[in-house]
Amino acid sequence: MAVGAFEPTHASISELGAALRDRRISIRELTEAHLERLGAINPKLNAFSLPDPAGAGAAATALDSELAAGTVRSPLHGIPITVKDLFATRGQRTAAGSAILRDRITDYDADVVANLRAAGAVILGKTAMDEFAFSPIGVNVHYGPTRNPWDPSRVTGGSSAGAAAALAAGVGSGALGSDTGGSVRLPAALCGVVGFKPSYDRLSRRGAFPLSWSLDHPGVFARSVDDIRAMFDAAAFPEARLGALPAVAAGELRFGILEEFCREVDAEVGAGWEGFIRAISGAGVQMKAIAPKKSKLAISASTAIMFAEAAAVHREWLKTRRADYGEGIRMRLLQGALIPAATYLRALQLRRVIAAEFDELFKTYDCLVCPTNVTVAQTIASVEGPTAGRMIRNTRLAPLLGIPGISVPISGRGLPVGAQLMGPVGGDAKLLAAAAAIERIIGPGGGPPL
Amino acid sequence: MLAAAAGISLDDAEIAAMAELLCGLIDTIDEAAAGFGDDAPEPLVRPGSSRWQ
Repeated sequence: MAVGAFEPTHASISELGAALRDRRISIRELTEAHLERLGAINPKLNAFSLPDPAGAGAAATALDSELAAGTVRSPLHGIPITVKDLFATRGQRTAAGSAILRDRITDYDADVVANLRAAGAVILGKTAMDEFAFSPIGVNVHYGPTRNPWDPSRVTGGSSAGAAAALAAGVGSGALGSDTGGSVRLPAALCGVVGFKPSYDRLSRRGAFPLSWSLDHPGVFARSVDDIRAMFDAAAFPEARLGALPAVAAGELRFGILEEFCREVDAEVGAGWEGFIRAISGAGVQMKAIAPKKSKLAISASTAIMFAEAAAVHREWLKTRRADYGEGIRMRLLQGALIPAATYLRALQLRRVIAAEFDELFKTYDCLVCPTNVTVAQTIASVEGPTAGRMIRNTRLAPLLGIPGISVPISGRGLPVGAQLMGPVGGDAKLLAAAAAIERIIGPGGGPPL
Repeated sequence: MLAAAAGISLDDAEIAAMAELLCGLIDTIDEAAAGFGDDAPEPLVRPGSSRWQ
């Protein structure tokens, strides 16, 4: 349904906000357009675990009344979004993609969900995810694979699989996800949308089912960096909001290119990355290839911390409900249960050593950059364990160090490729400003053919 | 034995499937931390810091 000069299911949050305030479309009409799109794509993509047309319709009606009375809660007033099944929503099933929690009804909203509702967002439903967020693929053994809108025979990446797929397919103008090893940035890259994982603790984890306490980060998806900022500010408590981003010119930016993370990528990613580097270099971004000595340790430290913390979360169910896990997650949890305390503690020490090296790098460079995805989206039939580990090779560093990271789409042909920008802890606003400058150079990502 | 001590029972197939990765991970972490002296960072940030409580 096109209204005037814009398409409600693909317009930016600021365009939609203006159209709502000008009464070119009502919130109810906008919500219905997105629900209609949801109904059309979900049988093909399996992006939703719990569509909520009744809840969305009721919220839209109430928010229309407020708008008619002159109340605009925030830039997200009346904007349709989606929420990953990891986050508690009051009175609804929150299964975290698992069979174990299949019948769990949560009686409260996660903090980020409550903040989004208070900002006036309309929640269209809860999106599909990997079991307990403990896989980067987007293939849930209990509920089936989520399919990539660019090619439904391919994976979306995970674990925020449905969040990325729905947004790329035109359902919702933003999405709430979570990222422990890459679960926002990877599916964003593979589905051709923007994904942002803020600094650790910048978004509340209360009400998000934990995978690994010291690595878990709620994060947001949108179609542009400007929309990411609006989504983030709506999900955050007031003291953590970013507000207006500083203006940054391309010529002011100093990027460190993580050499090691640019190697051994597949041909399509390599071609996209080379084109990206040429484009931003031509626009004046200053760049230097760097090779931090400690970055090789990031995968091992992240694995030890993630597996051990996850095993602690799941300890009772490992004893009593082991058969109810998919095989892959069951094995990872068992491995975590057997990691010696000394190994876990040494991994925490290593994290601080790695962080110290990167803190120094951020004194020289505004951002550290690399391809987000090592491969383009693989076919569902071909994805298996070793492939999964490779998929998140470039995304595990940022949650390990608690630093903010964003993936922006950079390839306008074929399957999507993402560029990842990382900044120092607390430098979220400057990172988004840099990403916005990059977006102005390379243009917004295109949409899938679906 | 380690598994039993941890309160987790494992069958042979599970042990076989996880042994290689687990032993490799422990070795890698040990090797990386082998040079730690008394100036190595403490594992946890002190309460009051929000980066890793």
